[in-house]
Amino acid sequence: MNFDLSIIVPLFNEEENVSPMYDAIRQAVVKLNRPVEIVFVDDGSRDQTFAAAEALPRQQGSIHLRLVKFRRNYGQTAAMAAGIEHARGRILITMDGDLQNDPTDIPLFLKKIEEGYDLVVGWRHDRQDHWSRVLPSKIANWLIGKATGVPIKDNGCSLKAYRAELIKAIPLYSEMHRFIPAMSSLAGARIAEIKVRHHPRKFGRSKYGFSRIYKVFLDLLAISTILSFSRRPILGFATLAIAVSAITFCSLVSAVAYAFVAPDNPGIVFSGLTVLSGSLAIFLLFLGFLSQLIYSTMIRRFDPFRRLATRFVTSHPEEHLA
Amino acid sequence: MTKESLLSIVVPIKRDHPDLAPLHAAYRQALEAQGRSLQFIYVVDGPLEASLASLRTLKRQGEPIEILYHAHSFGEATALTTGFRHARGERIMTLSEELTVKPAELGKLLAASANHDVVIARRMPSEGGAPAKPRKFEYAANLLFGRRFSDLRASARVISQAVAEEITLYGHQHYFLPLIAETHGFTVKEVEVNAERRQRARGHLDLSLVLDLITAFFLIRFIKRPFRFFGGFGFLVLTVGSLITAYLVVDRLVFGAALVDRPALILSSLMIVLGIQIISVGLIGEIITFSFTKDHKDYKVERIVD
Repeated sequence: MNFDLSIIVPLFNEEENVSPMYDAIRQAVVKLNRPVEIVFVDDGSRDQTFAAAEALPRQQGSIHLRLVKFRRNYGQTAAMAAGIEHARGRILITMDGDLQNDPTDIPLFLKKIEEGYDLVVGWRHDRQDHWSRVLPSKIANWLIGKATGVPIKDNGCSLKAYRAELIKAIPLYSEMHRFIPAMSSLAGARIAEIKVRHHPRKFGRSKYGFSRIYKVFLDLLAISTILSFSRRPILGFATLAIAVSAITFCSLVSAVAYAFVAPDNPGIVFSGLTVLSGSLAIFLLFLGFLSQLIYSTMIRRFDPFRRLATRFVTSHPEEHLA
Repeated sequence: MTKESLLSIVVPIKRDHPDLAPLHAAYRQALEAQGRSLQFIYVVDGPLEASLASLRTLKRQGEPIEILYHAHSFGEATALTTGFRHARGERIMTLSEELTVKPAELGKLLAASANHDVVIARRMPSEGGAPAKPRKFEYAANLLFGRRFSDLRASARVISQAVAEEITLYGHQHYFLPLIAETHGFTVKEVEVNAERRQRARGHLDLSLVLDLITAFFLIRFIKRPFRFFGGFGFLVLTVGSLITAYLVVDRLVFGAALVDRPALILSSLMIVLGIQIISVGLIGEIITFSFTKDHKDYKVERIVD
């Protein structure tokens, strides 16, 4: 089966929302008149969510419904990852299951992808949450933007559209979904951002608290490392080792100079610095070798990044995608 | 015999017992009263001749038990894992090699297991016994994990097959099973049961238990994001070291205080080095996690309906 578009919706205890959600999506995409697949992922709901979803028509016109059921609750990232894994469309769209995102935005996303973008991110520009939620989220987004060079204004928005081969190559684990734009931009994807309608949350639950910012910072550093590592495994540690070696060399010169210029006042400070930074440089170099070892045993795990950055060039400028 | 009604019972045997028949009889009698078909699995952990001989005798007498045997000792958690791999029941009950819980009380655990993935016993003193004092181990564990379990070391538990498939135990990790299960998204319930007799209070925390506690803490909280652990520590040490160094350097350049006289310089520069080392090791950890993570996916799909 060939679908142009798969719409992935994770559902957790949404028995009342399933049917309105389905209708809203159907109305939004029926005008497209193209084969569309809706993927509902039941994230181990304890209510009648799955039964409600099963009662919906499997096939209605050009719209197909696929249900993925988890054995238990695994969380939103896992639900999205499962939906992405089992979706069969060329273009994938993810959205929240609680009707916070507006399905009428879907055609806009589709259009952007067909203009040639790899990833389209929704931006909830009229968020009306309390500042204590918005501010940490803004700081986190700013940090992510700085690190990746692509200033995404709203990484937390679930409504996103992807080219299927891009998102299927990105490993989604832990809280990785927040870094999808970051990861794909570092892998060379073209990213667009569009404003979306945002309905207020019925149950307030913030994505970022102030304490989260340092986590975002650490996660970001980890992800940048993995990405640079996937390109040149030893480069990161080697660069660091060389920088530290430079310090070692300078302080060594100073120590020797001290010994000549002022024999009574031995350069304890510089000798100490030399020994310390020298040992650090050697330590880093060996860590570089260790990372090389990991890389060579797990080389196929880093293949996605090469694939992500690979494009198939044809004579038509729009058809750069394989 | 439907899968739902089958109950597997895993009993790890860690010591040499001259006669296990009374124990088996007690468990069997109590559990048969529950009206489910039973699969008894005894896992003998190490070369324990007497225990093995006693189990063999039981089997020869026609008891439908399965006996597994580790050629050398791996510890209780590994013995449990071995048992789980052979369990066919939808629910698995683990029991101790000694009667620590009144067998008649096991039904309570089973009843609770209908609605929960993991049910653990909380051993209450029998009539007349002194109420159990909160113990150091549980206190430390609850402090670290922010949970409230009062008897992590009770060996009577009921878990679902899904839990057994997903969680591999080793070391002392069986103590942390409820905590690990909770982080995997399973529901855990503690049920009060009467203890068989007064337990000898194991007051002290031995070293390996402390190490296991720390390991479990690290694994449960940070296995998916090791850099949050390493990076947090590393940047803390690095920042403190840099601040002290900056202060010392300014003091030297502006106020002319000789650095040679300051042992604080050794401390601060060592902290910088240590900080960088912890951060680098954490990044390696993150690379390892990343490299291996897709091999064991976060989720299991029960079914797909088209």
